[in-house]
Amino acid sequence: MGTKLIILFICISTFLKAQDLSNGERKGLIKATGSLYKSNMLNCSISHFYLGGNSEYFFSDKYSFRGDFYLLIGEKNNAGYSMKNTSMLSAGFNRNFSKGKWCPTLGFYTGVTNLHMVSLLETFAPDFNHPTVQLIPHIGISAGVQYYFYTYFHFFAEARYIHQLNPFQPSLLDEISYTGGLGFQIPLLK
Amino acid sequence: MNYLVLLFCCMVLLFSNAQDNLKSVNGAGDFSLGIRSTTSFFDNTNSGLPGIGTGGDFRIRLSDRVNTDWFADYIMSTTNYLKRNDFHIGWSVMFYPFNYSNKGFKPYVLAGHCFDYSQFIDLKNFNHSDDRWSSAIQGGLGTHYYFTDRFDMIFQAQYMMHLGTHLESEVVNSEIQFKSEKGALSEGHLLITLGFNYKIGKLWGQN
Repeated sequence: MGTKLIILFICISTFLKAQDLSNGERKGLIKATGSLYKSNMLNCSISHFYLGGNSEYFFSDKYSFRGDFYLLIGEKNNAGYSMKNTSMLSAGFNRNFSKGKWCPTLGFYTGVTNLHMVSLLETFAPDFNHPTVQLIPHIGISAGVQYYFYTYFHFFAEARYIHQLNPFQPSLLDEISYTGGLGFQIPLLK
Repeated sequence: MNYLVLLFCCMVLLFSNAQDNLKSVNGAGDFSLGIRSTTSFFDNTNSGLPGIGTGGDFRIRLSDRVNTDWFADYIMSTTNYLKRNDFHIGWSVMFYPFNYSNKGFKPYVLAGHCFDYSQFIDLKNFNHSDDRWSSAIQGGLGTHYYFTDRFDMIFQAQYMMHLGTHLESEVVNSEIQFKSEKGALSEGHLLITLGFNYKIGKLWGQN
């Protein structure tokens, strides 16, 4: 399987005529990233750590479609409940302000959170006699910047704001997450 | 609602600057796919936050002035007493009375029909819940904003009225009670939608 993927990558790399990413050309670019995200909830003292990734397709130099997936892998918690095993799936569009190898972006996305909330304190539990796994909608915006230093790789940093309702009481579960790292891209069109 | 209005204004300002490639097109046969988020304001909830929704849609344009929108939304809201889930699957006809080219702002009037599944859950006891399927009609106003001739954003407001049996909630002695009511047009909600669509291609005709 691994050998086939390497051969496929070599074939794609060989037959594609690479875009000049240093000139701000982005149309036809497919990119993917995977990273660790740290987030802070805005309405309570909980920090989350997500393992996340996204893939993005640039249908023009300025606009792209993007899909994201995040899995909660840890949290720093001073509240009475925990959100273990929570995951998020979202889709949205980005506006890309490409300038040379740099590419600041702004995005809008919407999706669902598979929320798994458990009580940490017995005193917090009286109202917790309900299923703790809830599928809740979310929306958000993102801002970031990428630096395309090589045909197939780029550095990136970004922050995301997630807006969602608490399904157990009339309050918000908003959070801001941020990350950075190395991304991979395949230029498909000249 | 405020954050969707703010988002719409920000997106117009931030996503614009791309009018250079805009051109007038023969719209019949256009097929586009998109994502959307809907905020719901129900008229019978007990002081809670507006619902947040997520969903998707596709559009098939019948002529320059008439478009059709086929959508699915999942909206959740919570009040002091209940959690409400709403699933909408339906369609709307969009009519463009003024500008019908894929340029800048393109206002429209819409009307349509949807199937609606609602679920009410008591926050104090999730075993205490009720649900129902019903049918609804909706109508409203909205506008596209075209970033390119293929990529647009919509912002629309519509009122949805249920036609069949619907659920109502009532707080009695700090306990929530659910009851089904028959009869048309006695319950409704205001829906504010922000969405983005990309034109995949044409099902018939030529650009």
